[in-house]
Amino acid sequence: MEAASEPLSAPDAYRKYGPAMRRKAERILQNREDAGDVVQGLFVDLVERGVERVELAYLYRAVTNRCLNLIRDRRNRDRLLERQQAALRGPARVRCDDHVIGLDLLCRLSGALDEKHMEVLVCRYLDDMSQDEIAELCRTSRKTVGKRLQRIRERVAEIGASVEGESGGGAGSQGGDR
Amino acid sequence: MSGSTCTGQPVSWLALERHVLGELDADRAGAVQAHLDACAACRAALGVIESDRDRALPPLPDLALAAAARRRRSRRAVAAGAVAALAAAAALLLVWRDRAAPDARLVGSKGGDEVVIGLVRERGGDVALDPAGFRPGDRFKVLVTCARAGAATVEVSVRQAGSVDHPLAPVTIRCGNRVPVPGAFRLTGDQPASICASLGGASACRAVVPE
Repeated sequence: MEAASEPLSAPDAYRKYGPAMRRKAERILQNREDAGDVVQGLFVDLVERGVERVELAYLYRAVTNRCLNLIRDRRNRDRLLERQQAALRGPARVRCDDHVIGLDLLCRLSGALDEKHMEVLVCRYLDDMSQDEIAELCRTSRKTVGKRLQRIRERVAEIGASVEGESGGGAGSQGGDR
Repeated sequence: MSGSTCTGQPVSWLALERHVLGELDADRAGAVQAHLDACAACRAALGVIESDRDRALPPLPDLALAAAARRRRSRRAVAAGAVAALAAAAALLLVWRDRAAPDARLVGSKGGDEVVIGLVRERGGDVALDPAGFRPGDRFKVLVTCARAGAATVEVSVRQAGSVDHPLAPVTIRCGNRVPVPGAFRLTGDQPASICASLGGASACRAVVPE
């Protein structure tokens, strides 16, 4: 992956990276209000904690984890699915076999996969990262990423069949995992 | 969500964001640009970023404000330790006062586990931490500080003009310092309001008055 960005103060990072973080949260949560709250909450927290230097990769992971924490709560899931604006998902360039990973599938998978697998899932199928990029961002080996993706594919295959119609899945995917 | 076919390994969203920000080194930027020239799917993704670039972010709270808030909380904690018995009595008094007329500061806490509530107010794009006042239509977020291990369910209530509303669904959080409660709500009306967060048997309130 490309060189890491220079660390910035939280307010500077908010100005520079806030829009990118908001777009990322919107891809995952598929609604503007909750995505805005996640990003605002993250930076308010950084300011409150007096964190003075943050960089893009840290923010990227933090937004992923905060979005997944929201999704993990069953009561939030219902609200998120109600508010879902599918267009915010953006172009689905990477699919898990035949399945586009959207909010509905993400919600179902959150009950079947642990935090580390869910993070890799978001990196691969919502952030469209290569295995090398995921390994670097998550500070793990490419082999571990590959194993997690395999596990994810198994879970998606189990769960995906029942939501295939809702998620708009279909053949013709590119950028497979192997 | 539309499906698009990439001509090879898609340029990740992170790489696209860095490309737009000019943060990629020359080699990587060249490779990304070459891919974009050949790949309509990745150009479409880039288009999503470029079409969103002018959408404004609400401003962040001022660092100095945040530091002042931290200092206030710190002083409060020291004072509470020094005069614990007096503070307990004062808390009881403040809880009683809150029922009659909400005060502008932290008005009460109870229960075995301490809970502290913080507020973030957004007004026309301006953000204030722990405000004492509100105008109708101001948007509020609640921050909770708690020490309980593991997950805990938070309920937010607003008492105003003799009625109690629950503007947010109960939500499970992991305790910590100033943990944002998901969701936000707007205050209306011209009566003082008391915004409370309850967590298990403990609760804390903060009062805001009309400006």
